[in-house]
Amino acid sequence: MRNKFFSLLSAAILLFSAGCKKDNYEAPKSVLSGRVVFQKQAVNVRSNAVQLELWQYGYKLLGKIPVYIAQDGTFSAELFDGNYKLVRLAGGPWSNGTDSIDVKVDGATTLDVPVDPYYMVGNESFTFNKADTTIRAIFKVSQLSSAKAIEKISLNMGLTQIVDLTNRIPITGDDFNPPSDISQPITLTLSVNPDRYPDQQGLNRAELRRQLSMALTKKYGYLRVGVKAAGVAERTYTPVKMITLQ
Amino acid sequence: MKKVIFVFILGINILLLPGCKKNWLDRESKTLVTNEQVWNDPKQILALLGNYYDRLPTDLGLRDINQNGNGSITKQEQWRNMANYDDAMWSGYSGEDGRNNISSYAFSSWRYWDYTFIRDCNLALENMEKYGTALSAAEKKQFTAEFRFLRAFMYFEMVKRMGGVPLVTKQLIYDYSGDPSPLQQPRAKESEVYDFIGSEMDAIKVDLGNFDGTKSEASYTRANKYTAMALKSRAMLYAGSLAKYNSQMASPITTPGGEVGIPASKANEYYQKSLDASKEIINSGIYSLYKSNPNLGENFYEAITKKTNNKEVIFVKDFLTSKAKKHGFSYDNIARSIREDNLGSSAVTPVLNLVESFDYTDGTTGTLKTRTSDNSDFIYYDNLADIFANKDARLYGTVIYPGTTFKGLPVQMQAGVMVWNGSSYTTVEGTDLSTNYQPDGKLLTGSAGPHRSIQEVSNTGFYLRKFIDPGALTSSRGIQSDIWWIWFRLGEIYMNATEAAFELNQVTDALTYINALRARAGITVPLTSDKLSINKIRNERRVELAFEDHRLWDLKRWRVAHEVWNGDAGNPNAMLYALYPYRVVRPGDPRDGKYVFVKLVAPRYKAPRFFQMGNYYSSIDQAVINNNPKIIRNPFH
Repeated sequence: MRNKFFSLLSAAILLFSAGCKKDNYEAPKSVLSGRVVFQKQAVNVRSNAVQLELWQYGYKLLGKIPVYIAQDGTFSAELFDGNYKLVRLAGGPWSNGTDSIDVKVDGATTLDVPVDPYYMVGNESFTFNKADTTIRAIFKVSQLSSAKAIEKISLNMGLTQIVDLTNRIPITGDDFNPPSDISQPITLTLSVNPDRYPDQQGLNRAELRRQLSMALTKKYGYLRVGVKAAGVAERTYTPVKMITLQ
Repeated sequence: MKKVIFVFILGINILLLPGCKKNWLDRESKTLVTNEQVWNDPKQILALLGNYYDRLPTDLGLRDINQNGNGSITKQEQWRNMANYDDAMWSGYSGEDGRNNISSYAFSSWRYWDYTFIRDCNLALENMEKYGTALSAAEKKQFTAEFRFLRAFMYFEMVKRMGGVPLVTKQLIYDYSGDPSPLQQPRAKESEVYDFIGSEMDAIKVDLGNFDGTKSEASYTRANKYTAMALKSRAMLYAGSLAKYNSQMASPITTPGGEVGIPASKANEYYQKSLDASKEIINSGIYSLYKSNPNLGENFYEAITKKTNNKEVIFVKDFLTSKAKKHGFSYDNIARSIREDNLGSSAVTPVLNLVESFDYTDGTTGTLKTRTSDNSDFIYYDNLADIFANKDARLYGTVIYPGTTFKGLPVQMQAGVMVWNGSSYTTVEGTDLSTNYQPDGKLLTGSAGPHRSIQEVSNTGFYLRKFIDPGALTSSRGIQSDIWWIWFRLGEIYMNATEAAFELNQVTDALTYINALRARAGITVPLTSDKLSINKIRNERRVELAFEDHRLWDLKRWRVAHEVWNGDAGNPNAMLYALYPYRVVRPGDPRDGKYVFVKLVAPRYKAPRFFQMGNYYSSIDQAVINNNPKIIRNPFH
């Protein structure tokens, strides 16, 4: 009886250990990384918002692999080696590219994904004027498609390096209407003086004042300009730049 | 040994066999009912109908029910979602604080794909036709109409979330041929689904019984003719506004095949259909706005909750404690200081945004006055409720605000005290509820808060009144509540009629309908044509129908959700606000003991509401697309 029990037990152990080996896959190791680019220049976007998606065909069931684009226009995904199709999902600050891109992942792979933005914004410089506690941004907008007019231009300041329309100090009036002539460099000025933002009837701005004072105490902040094409939710941004507030 | 057993078994077999011989293989099952039994028995069909009515989904509701359709992640009924939008926030158990910190709505939010329910309806319709020989023609007609009503209701719930969905009106039966493609139907156009709902309602309204000509006999738990018209009124209004406002977007949300997006040219046709359906209900004289209580605030509360002599409700999901059909909505949401259980309370608390949406009775905008007009000082109030004086009576009926009572008990609200230090005020707040301010021994923080951080206490300075049961002990887990959930009531039909008439430039009619509701709420100065705007109507809809599962869908169909909830912490519509009352401590001054109010972003509220373009239509589950490659994705997913 005892012998029988042991032989059963060992058989069971053999069975199970053999089972584990087969069923478990190793985690994917190959890294696909790259940038979304326009004319070899990375397109900066809002963080955690714009997506690419990867599909791998040839299996019975399909499931998409979402790939989020970082704010500086880069992306990366850990994958199994194989052939994928990369789709530029609608919703980015560019006209929809409906063609998918074939991607062969074999070890570390890099890939630049071309997109057609409505606008690019660059040549930015930021200055801080201590006398009246304002920030001035000078930048140039290039219109790449006549299909969409500019709706808004935002000048956002953040306390951290992630800056965009949803991660920022919510300064009242930091989303500007575009000037009539956008072919020339554009200048925007924004006050960062907490005293300029008192409470109004129905609008409590204590949080805004607290964050502005914090930035002024730390003596630095991060700035970014974003351009919104009419009817397109996402914006193209400049790279984030640190500014010294003194 | 073995032999003995063998002989024994043989013996038993011989003994038993003759007894079973006759009907052994054709006995009636004691655990299964046959098609012939079900579809010929009106009682069983009625039971089935009861089950189907109970499965109608709503984003809110009063219960927490999770019967998912295939590929659905949305719960069938989830009252907690009331805290996901901009009428209320979450002040309950801190584990659910994610509702105050929704950095963006997932694209899968509100997904609903319940073809199990659709199949159940189709199966019932076909089998009743096939097997139901013993049913009378009248019974068959009525049941058929009810199943079709339920199916159309479900298609409406799906189309408003997903856009056009496959219109399946027959059972899909697999033939085991190895090829499932005959069962794979593509998505219908969005407009086709709305057209289907409209034509179904017209087709069945005469067959739906449950009504004998007077309201006292009209059923409000089963569909009758006017319930069908109410569904049509709402669905056609949705279709009309989708047609109109989607095309007005800078880049309309459409798919090439029309699965999403209705052409603007169809807007007026839909508005007209909605208005006609609304008028049929209003002009029938069967229903009337509830006006039984001279106290207008209580009156509005009773219009929602009173079950006897209520001629306003058209269709409800009813509950009954004595039959153990009940829910814990009052347990979870009653004001803290008057809870009757040792846990729970205060989960969904209305926010200042909603409170200020209620106009004053003279028709002016409802912003509460906390500071003098030059913003130099507080406004001092003798009583807590004084700041709410002359507000629309619906505020009282919807929200418990400082200085009011519920079940005859005061709900004591005070956030702390403001102590005058000679040149300005120092704010002192209690670390616990029901505390006294030691120097003067008077109240510091009230037994109902508000409090910045304690869970199950209002974080906003308001509690919910609508849908909370006034009965004794109904907020305890032992007894629970049987307040009903309202699918349709005349108040909504008036709002539908107002909006449709306004969009069709019939301003006089629109004014008649909207002013009827405003007069019922105690607003003495009626709106005039120069003051009536689409924004006024939208605001009216928000306050009249708060917490009745309209706000989200309204903002979606007007295509303004992405602007109202734009994820911008500087946008007062995307942030949720609280109103904290303080007692002034300023001995020797006439202002001592008076009350001041502070507006602030609710302390437990973290991330601004963020509704993205991809939220206008919920994403379709990949499993659905894998099973049926003819289904195309919604835009942005």
